[in-house]
Amino acid sequence: MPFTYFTAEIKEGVTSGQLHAIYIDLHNKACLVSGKLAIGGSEEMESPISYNLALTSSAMIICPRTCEGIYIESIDGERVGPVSLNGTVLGGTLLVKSEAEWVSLRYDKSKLKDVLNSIGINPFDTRHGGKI
Amino acid sequence: MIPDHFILATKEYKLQTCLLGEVDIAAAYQCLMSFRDNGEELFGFFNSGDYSGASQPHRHIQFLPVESMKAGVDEKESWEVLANTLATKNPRM
Repeated sequence: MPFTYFTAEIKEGVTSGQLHAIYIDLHNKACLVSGKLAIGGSEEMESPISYNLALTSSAMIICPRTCEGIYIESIDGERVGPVSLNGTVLGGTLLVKSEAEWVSLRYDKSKLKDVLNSIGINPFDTRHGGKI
Repeated sequence: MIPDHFILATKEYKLQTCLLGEVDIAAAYQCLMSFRDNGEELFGFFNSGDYSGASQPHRHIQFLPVESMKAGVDEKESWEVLANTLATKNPRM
């Protein structure tokens, strides 16, 4: 994926305290990579970053966000969108608002790439050491 | 909208932009596990902040049945929830 994310596996029998600690840890990492100070674990605190969280019975993922999405060109050359992505992207799905958006993304993979490139932090950016 | 999409919202008014509490995340996980016990896998997600695709300020975690996310995928193609694939095959800590 062309955006930075942080993952953790969830083992069966995990306690709520452990789950919350995993969440705070992933959120802290997402803050640091976004150049923000991590804020600890208080739920009263506002998150300094935009992010999506995905939770399944076996995994938790956080993806820091810097952009909601972009306008793309339809197959007729018109500007359509914006194609806005939310947490469903971490499930491998994407919701579109119009047929024109769908057709453009479906038949031109470079458009999908452009959208995915736009939403978060480039993992290959050398400022982050190219490791994330 | 995807069919059977549902949300889990906090009883008291809590902000979508504040960190999730232990009870929030535990409730979400419990939801996933009870559906799983009934043979249905869910995908849970939470959008927080201006750039996250979040729609409304009252705190809510959303769920989609994995089966409905697969709708339209050619039966010959395999499809897995990306989050699980990323966590097991391409983890980033």
